[in-house]
Amino acid sequence: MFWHVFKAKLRVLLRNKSCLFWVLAFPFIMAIMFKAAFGNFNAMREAEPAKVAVVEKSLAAESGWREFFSGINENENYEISYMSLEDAKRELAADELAGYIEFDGEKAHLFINNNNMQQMLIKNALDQYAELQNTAGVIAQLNLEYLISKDGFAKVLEEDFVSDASDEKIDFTINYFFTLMAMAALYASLIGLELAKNNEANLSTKGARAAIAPTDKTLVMLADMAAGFVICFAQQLALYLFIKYPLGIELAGAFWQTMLINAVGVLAGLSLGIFVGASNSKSEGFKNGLLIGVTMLCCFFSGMMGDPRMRAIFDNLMPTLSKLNPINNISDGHYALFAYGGDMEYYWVALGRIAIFAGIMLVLSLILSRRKRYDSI
Amino acid sequence: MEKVIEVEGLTKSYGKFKAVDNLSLYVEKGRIFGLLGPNGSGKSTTINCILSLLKYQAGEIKIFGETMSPDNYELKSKIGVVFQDVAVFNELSVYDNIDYFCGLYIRDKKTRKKYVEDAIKLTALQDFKKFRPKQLSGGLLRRLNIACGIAHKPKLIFLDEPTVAVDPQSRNAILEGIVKLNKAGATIVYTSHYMEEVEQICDRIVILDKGQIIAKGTKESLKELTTMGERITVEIANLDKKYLEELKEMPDVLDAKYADSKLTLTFARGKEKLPAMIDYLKKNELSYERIFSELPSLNDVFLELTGKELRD
Repeated sequence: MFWHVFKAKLRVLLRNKSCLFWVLAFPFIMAIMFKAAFGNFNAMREAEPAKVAVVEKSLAAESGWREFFSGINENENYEISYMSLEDAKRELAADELAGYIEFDGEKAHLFINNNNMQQMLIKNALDQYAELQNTAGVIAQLNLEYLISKDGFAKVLEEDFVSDASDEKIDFTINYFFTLMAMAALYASLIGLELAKNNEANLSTKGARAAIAPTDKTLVMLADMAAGFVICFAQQLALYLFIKYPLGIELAGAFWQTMLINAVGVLAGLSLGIFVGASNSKSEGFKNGLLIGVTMLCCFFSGMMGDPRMRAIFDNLMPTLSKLNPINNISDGHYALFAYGGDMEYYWVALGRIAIFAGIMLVLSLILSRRKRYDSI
Repeated sequence: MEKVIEVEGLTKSYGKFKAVDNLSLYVEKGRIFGLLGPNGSGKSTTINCILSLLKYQAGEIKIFGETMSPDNYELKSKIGVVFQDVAVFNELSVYDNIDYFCGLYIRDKKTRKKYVEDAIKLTALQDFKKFRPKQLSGGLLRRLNIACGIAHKPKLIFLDEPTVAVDPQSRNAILEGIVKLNKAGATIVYTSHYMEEVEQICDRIVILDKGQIIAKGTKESLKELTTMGERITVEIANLDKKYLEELKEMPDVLDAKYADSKLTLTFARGKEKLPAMIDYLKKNELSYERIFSELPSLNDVFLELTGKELRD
């Protein structure tokens, strides 16, 4: 029975155009778009480094910052210099600088006079750096005026940044691709929704037909999930290889650990979809919209769309919700493998969180799928 | 005769609205049992309660002498259902759809293959095995829907309005198929709001309205419930009002109407009235296109019992 259902549902899902688009094609399109966006970004960086001045006087008491700036100076994309405030202002006005940073004893202030690619480079480094602090569990005081707490910076500086910045491998844009893989995993929820629809009598006549058959609904649901998992996991594998080879993005080398967290992410997505599908009898369009919306919202709060500082802001505002965000956990797992190499602690924490999320959703889905009779169909 | 379905005091409410109200019925083995009623009369709700898909507030349901419950797989394996809405996978071919649903009942591959072929033959889908549902016409789709519901050769089959939106040719094919299934030994429960179909194939009929049984029996016994004996229709152009008034005064005439060049006369039970009517038309030198007589239908029974048409 398991194989009978599994084989049929595999075929059904592989021929479902809507599912195929969102689950299989859409992440590839996004990957190409990211590559196009950041490919140019990187090219411009190579062509002309961003010149940044640090106000010498204000930096005096901040010894840790000097190491940070010397670390960043080794990156060919940045050119850090030290000067007086007056000189910095003059050079900025004359467009000889992309921006300057001044410290007031509490916070670092970034001053820019326009907002083009070079300014983006500086902001991106600071923003991604703030995100790195969050990955490392350090709370950053960050706001939209690019005010960053000295403590946050100093701590990350000591722990991570100097060594990372001197390592040519580091590229903050990699986070977009990690979040993209996380998004693709969570899009498995759309397949979960489709499967729930076909098994619940109050959602479709096919569901009613399945419900009157002399079969264990849990077994059918597990066979359905297995079919959905095969498709979504294959997609994750293909997306990973696509990002790594044709797009040439350097991903973490720990292949099996990467695939493990992706697999758990897919399971979480499938279970979420089944849970949303089986928990209410709203229209299919509503549920589809809800799942896509939730996934996009999770991506937004994870910093994938628009402002990457959103992750840091959301972490500060709602730390518990941020820890529950499956996109954060999957992308954190990837980042941990990528940035921390031998230290697997962050990876296991992220994997544990997403596994707990998947487990809860799975149990709830199983409970719902065991319903006997319905109030209305 | 052995009772295949026994329902006692079934009540199903949605809030204050009673969809099925204290309904009791039984279906004997080998019958084609008709549940007739207008849309919203409670036919589908009754079936869904019998199938244990719906919760209900009161009543007892037995199938093949056993209490029906969602966990009674043994009982479920004897039942086939053809739902009102087509329930097939658009992504699978005709053959694969039937095979999938049959496979939920029949584990043995060899047996299943034979059953699937039998279902295809019964529904005359041999030429469409590799077609996807979206490539089929409405009638063929309905036939596929039936094949998916009956491929496992159930002993009891529920057919819930299986001919809705089907062309006459497909409708006849479907009805013939149902009779074949019955002759092969299956007991059939057939719901419809098409009285002609119910009259054509059902040997026992229950008429439902507002969740209650308003009449039951054979089609002949049900027709006894009406005072009407015959309806005569005359296609006649420009009938003068005076003739209509005259006809209304004729003995045994219950009603006389003239609209759209059609004169319709309803007569009470008694002698055949067609010869007398032809004589009247000749005597008054009224020329007409056609004249025909009809016996009372189940719609007339329903009309007389409820004051409304079955398709209202």
